[in-house]
Amino acid sequence: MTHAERAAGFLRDAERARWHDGSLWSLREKRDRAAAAVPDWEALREAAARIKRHVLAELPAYLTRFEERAQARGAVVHWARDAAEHNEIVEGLLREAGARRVVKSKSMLTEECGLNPHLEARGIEIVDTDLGERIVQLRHERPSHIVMPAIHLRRQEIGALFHAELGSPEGESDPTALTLAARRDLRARFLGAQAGITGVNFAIAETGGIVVCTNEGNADLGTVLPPLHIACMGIEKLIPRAADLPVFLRLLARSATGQAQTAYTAHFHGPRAGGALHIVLVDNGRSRLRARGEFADALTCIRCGACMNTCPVFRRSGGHSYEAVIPGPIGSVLEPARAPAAHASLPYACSLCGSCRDVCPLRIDLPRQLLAWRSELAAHESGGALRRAGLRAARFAFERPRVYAALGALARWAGRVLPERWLGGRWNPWTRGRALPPTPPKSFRALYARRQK
Amino acid sequence: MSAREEIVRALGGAVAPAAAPPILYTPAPAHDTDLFARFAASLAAAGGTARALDGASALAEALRADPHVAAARRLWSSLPELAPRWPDGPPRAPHDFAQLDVALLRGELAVAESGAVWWAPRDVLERAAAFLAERVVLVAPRAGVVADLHAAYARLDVAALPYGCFVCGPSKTADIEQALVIGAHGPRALEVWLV
Repeated sequence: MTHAERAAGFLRDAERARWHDGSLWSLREKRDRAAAAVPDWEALREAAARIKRHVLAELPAYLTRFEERAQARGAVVHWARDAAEHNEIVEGLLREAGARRVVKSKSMLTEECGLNPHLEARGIEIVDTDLGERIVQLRHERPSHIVMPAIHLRRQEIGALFHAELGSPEGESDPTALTLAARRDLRARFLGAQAGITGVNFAIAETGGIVVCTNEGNADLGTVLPPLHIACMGIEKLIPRAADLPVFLRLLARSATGQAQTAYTAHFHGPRAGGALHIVLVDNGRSRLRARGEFADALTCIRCGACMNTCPVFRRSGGHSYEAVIPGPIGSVLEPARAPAAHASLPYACSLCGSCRDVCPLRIDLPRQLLAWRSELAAHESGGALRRAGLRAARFAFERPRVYAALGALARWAGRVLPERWLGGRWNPWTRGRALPPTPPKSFRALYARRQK
Repeated sequence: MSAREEIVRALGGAVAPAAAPPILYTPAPAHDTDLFARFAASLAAAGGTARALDGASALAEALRADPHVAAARRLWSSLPELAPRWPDGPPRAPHDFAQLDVALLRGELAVAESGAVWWAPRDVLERAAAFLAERVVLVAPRAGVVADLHAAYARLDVAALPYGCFVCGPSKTADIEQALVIGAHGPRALEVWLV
């Protein structure tokens, strides 16, 4: 199935689609207000992009420096070429520690690697502790948004889920009461956990430390109760110095939710007393993407989700329509790099409006990259026989000026005299969801010729 | 070949950086006349409350007068001004804090632009107390309020201890229909007292 087909399914519930659209747009508005309150916002974006590009260019040097400094602080650093290797490393660490109950804070990387199913299949209980992630975990589905994993769900659905899974009262749909039910359940799991897994927002090459941002404090609770902390990160998460952090921290939460800063910005430098800290550095296609100049910029993404909140296609099709670990504009660039055939329709889930580029704190030129993917993926996603035939016909006409002029005249005549429902009827896929533009009375060539006289 | 060698090679091989990192970004100096007011407003937006206290006697008075501190059965204190309360014996592991009412912590530095306070616990017990307590009071020096995070990182050594954190309001979530709920996993209330 293509994105468009899945989106059609999402849009069948028009009321929900409208609600989803408005819900995400309100995040975009919060982001706008937060950005407008920062006088040097554009300078921050500029600085952030410059730092990240520099790190990408010098990545091997920064990675090895980070490894050395992290080890000097007592952390153990592991390297994983791909998802399978990452999962084996984490599983091995848990087995070695005898950990069978694990709590995890938000990490898109472990989603990407499929860590949960890997561990569950081997008898290790892994509990997502971010509330949104916990909700989708209990529903056995993937996050529909990287910052708000359960943004596709109504409170009544979450109430019914919690009633079935956590024993909250039937019919309860108040967000505060539901959050409390989850808090009670998860508190027990935090206290019983034998290991905590976290993602990483930033890794500091200069100090060998990692930074994790949460609003709930779940990364902090999950690493202070159990003695074993495993932090999983993509190799692109590095920044040179601790003093570069403010540039990113000032952009991240404002772009994501409109907050000035997340409730907790935790800095880990080495293991806690009596504990162990393992850091897993994961490539999983990143070095390949970096080698491809035109898409390398996508690796500067800091996962704020702003491109999703603003995207007219994402807002009206829902994250699950992308059937990808990372949905939305940035996902549509990253996912085809991982599995071109499976995600070939994603670069078309875009009207090239450019709104994502305008809000991206790293100024990633997403529309340009999506366009580049379309030509790249033509072998996988050609849009079916009808579009191929249409493009062949267009090419035939574009190569023959006289034919083109004649067809233009025919179209102008048809637009004038034929009823709209003939031209835009069921047979015409172009007019599904679009109105035909008004027909111009004269061609450009005719206007131009007259002007020249 | 090990995974490490293979990844480093795929990235072009480990060499010393060819270029120096971009010079540190510093914003134009802010024209804040009242950093405390700005901090208090930022913290309020993050769901916390700020108080200015005038000197040690005002702090002692505030500790005496605070109804939550007075009512707390179990209380963690990193402040010399107030003794901890452990009716069932002093805690020995983070798990002993499962029923902690109040944690009084010492913050180092406060950021006016966001309402965050830098806090670096001395040990793992203090670290656990800050997240398991129902209510947290961070006491920080009034002279430690800086305009923004750039000024904060210029002053701090964030790598001095295994763990340090910018705390910006109480634990919260908006994962259910974006309705803000305070007290997701950690504290349900956060106060910052600047002395």
